Amino acid sequence: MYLVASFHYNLHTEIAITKVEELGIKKEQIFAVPLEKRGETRNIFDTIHHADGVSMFDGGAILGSACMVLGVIYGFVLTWGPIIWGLIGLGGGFLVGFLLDLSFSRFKHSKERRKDTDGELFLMVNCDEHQVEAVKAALWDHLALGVAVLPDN
Amino acid sequence: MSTAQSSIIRRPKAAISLTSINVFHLRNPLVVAWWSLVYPGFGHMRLVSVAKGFFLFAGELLINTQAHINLAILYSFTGNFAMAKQVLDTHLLLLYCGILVFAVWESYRIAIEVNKFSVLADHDNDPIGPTVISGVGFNAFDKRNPWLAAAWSMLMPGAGHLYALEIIVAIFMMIGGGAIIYLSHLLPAIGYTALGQFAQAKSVLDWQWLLNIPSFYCFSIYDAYVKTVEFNKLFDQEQAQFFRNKYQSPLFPMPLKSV
Repeated sequence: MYLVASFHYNLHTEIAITKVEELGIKKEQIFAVPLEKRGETRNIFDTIHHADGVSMFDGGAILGSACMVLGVIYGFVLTWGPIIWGLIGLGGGFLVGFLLDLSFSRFKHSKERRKDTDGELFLMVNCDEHQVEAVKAALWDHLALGVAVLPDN
Repeated sequence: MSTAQSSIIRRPKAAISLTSINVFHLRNPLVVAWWSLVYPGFGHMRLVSVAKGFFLFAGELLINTQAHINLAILYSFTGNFAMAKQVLDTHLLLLYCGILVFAVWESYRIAIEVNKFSVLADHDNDPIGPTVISGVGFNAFDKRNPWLAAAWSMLMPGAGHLYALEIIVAIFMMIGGGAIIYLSHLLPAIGYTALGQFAQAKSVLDWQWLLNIPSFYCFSIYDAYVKTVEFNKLFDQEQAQFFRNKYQSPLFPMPLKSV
C-alpha cells in the first residue's frame, strides 16, 4: 500500500517521518519530494536590486521612518506635540509605502506572485496493509495537510 | 590532503552560533543604503556586519550629540535658521559628513558583495548545520511569525530580535534604545500627551535625544521582521536539502511501475 501526504516545511514534518520510521518502516520505503517555490529563481540581474519577497515591508519601513522623523520635527511647532505627530507620520508613511509597494509589485509580478503555497512537500510511504492506519495517524498527528491511500496496483 | 580540502565549504549559505544566525541572502542594496542614511551603522547591522555597525553607530551618536546636529535639523526644518546656526558646535561637525557618506557608500558596496556570495552559496547548495547546543544554551532553525517579531519590537526595541534569537543585536537594541528613551524623556512626554497636556509634553522632552528615536524604533521593527522572514526561508531550504539527501532512495518501490 502507498500513502501520499502533503506538508509544510516544519519541524513537525521531520517528527512525522521519525514516527513513521519508528513503526518499522525503512528509510528506503519513504520518498520525500520537496517542491521548489515559484519566485525563488536565481537570476542575479533580476534579484540583486530587488529584495526577495520582503519588499512588501521595505516601502512601508522606508516611508514610515521618514515620515515619523518629519512628524516628530513638526510636532515641535504643532499643537499636539511630537509624539502624536510622530505616530501619525509612522502610520501614514507606512500605509502609503506599503500600498505603493503593493500596487507596484502587482503591476510588475502579477504572474509570478502567488500566495504561500499550501503544500510545500510531498511524502510517499510504502507499507504493508496492516500498517496503514498507524502510519496515517502518525501523519495526521503531525500536521499533514492532506493524506491519501493508494492500493498496490 | 585532497579529502581534507574537499571537506572545506567554500561558499557557505549560513552560520549559526549560540547568539545569532547569519545568512547570505539577497538584499536590495538601496534599502541597505537607506538605513545607513537614517542612521550610520544600521545598514551594516542589516548585513550582519555587526562590529562595524556598532562602531559606526557609536561614532555617529558621539558626533551628533557633541555637534547638536539633531537640534540643528529641528530648527532648520521649522524655519528657525538663526537658531540652527547658533546651536551647532563646529568642533566635530564636519566629521559627520565623512561618517555618514562612508556608511552609506560602504553598506551599499557590501550589500552587492553579500548578494554575490548568496548566489554562489545557493548554487553550491552545501549542507547547512541547523542546530547548535552547548552547556549554556542552544540555537536552532525554526519557523517563527515575522509579524509577532515586529509586534514585540514595537512594544520594546530589541524584543523582536530576542524572539528571532539574534541575541547580540537584541542586547544592543535594548541597552541603546533604553538609554535613548531615558535621555530623551520620552516616556514622561507620552504620559503628558495621553492626558492632553501637550505643552508640558513638549517642554519635558530633550529634543536632541528625541530625534534619535524615529529611526531607531523603525529599524528595530523592520530588522526583526526581515530577519524572521529570512530565517524561515533558511529553515525551508535546509529541510528540503535534508529530505532530498535522506529520503530519495533509488530503492524506493515506485507505484504503478508495471503499467
